Amino acid sequence: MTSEPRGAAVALLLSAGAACVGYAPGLEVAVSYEAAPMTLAVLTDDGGRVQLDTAELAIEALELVPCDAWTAALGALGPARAWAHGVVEGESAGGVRLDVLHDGGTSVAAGVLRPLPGRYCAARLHLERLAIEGRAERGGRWTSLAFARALDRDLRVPFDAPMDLDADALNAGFGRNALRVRFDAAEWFDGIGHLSEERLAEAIVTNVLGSFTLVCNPRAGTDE
Amino acid sequence: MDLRTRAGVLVGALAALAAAPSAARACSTCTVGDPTLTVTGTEQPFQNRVRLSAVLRHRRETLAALGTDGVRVPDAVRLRENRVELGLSWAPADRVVLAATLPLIHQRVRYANLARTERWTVGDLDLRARTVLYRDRRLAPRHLLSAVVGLELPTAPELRDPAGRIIFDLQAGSGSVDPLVGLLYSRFAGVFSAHVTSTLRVPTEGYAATRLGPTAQLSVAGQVQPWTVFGLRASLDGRLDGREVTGGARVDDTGGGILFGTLGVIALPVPRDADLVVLAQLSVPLVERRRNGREGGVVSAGVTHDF
Repeated sequence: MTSEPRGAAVALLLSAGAACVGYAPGLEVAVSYEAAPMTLAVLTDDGGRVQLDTAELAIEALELVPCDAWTAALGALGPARAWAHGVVEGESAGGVRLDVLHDGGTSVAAGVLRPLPGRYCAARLHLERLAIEGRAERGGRWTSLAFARALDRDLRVPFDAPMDLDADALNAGFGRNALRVRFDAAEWFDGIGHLSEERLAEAIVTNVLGSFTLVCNPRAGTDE
Repeated sequence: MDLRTRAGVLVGALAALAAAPSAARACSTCTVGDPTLTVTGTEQPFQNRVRLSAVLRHRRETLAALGTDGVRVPDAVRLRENRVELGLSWAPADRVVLAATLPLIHQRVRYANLARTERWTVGDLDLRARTVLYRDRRLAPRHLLSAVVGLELPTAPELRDPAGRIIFDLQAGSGSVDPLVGLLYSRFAGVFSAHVTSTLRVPTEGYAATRLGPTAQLSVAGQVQPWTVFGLRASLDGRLDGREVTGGARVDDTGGGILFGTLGVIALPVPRDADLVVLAQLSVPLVERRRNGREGGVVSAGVTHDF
């Protein structure tokens, strides 16, 4: 063999295992949860008080909901399986377990969504589990308040205004967005003062479902 | 397979081929007694024939993505790929050819969320041994039937998308040791020649506990070479991919089939040098039944030199 093939062989060996990668980020939505700060005693809307020892909410997933109702309807008819290929760009943000008493007032990051281009009107949260322990003043008496319940519910929370995620937004420097899911756990105990024990847990769950608001803002150029 | 192991595999394979003795021949087509110009892999073997080749291929592919609510969005992920396939073959005996091919790959990927990646990498090293099972005569055979066995080694690194996921259709390699078997029949009849190639590759488990489906390929190529220095080629190239298996479960949205139609030219750029052959081809998909994406045309150009 002449020297040229040997040289080529050396060049191949030098390239073995090499992978040089460049990356330009696309549309991204950083998701975080933010519980309002909790006081030691929560004052309910009917004048009662609640003292909490534990208040935990597990949220399994969050995904963006497109405004296009027809698209959403097609999706409901379509296959529900995910592809093992991993080409699932509109995926949900990872699950979080929020300790409301200790996480109140802080932002808990839940991951980054990399959605397909489109106009999004809402976020869908999948609530997994709620656990409450403490005492409640109801009808002038303090009673124990303790339950842990698997929720397993989807909750659709609308945006105040649609979120446009497309090539124009990306080119204008607004490809990176932040989505904060806010809630005030103090609202969870409204209207429980005169409920029976049997209806208490369901009333709190109903309040939990209605306690979320979304705050979305572009964060172009930041590393937040 | 880590970098050191991959490099070791390459060292072994290429060193073996680099150690091949040089061929003291002046003209490869003269030696086999047939002026037919051949592409890499279909040449007529003779002892100590050494062939070096480089083929540049450009191709495009799109993949569907699954969006929110399970909506399937076609063509959401786009791949543009240029690859240079460097090949080295050596015939240690009159009826045996050993060959190694290593792709150097440049990919541009636009993901469904409009993120872009550009990467340079090596692909999987392809090692093949071909042995002639039948030939009707030693000099200028008209019929040549060969068996091919091969091994594709996982020299390509694992590539992940911006979210850290492995998208198999965007990998430069399979991440697995993939054996293959095949048959090649060649017919040489003056200015006409034809080649029928069939291969079956059965991958083993690779990245992320996933085993790619078996792949069967069939290519029927015809060539007319009215002049010694120039020929026209046409072929039908079909491929059937089985479904992948991940974690023991079959993945429905994978695999499928595709049939390419190919037109090309093959020529001697230096008429007095029959050892230097160039090839240019255009392949377009004629029938496509893939379950997870679409492939575009393939433009390829290559050069082969006998030593």
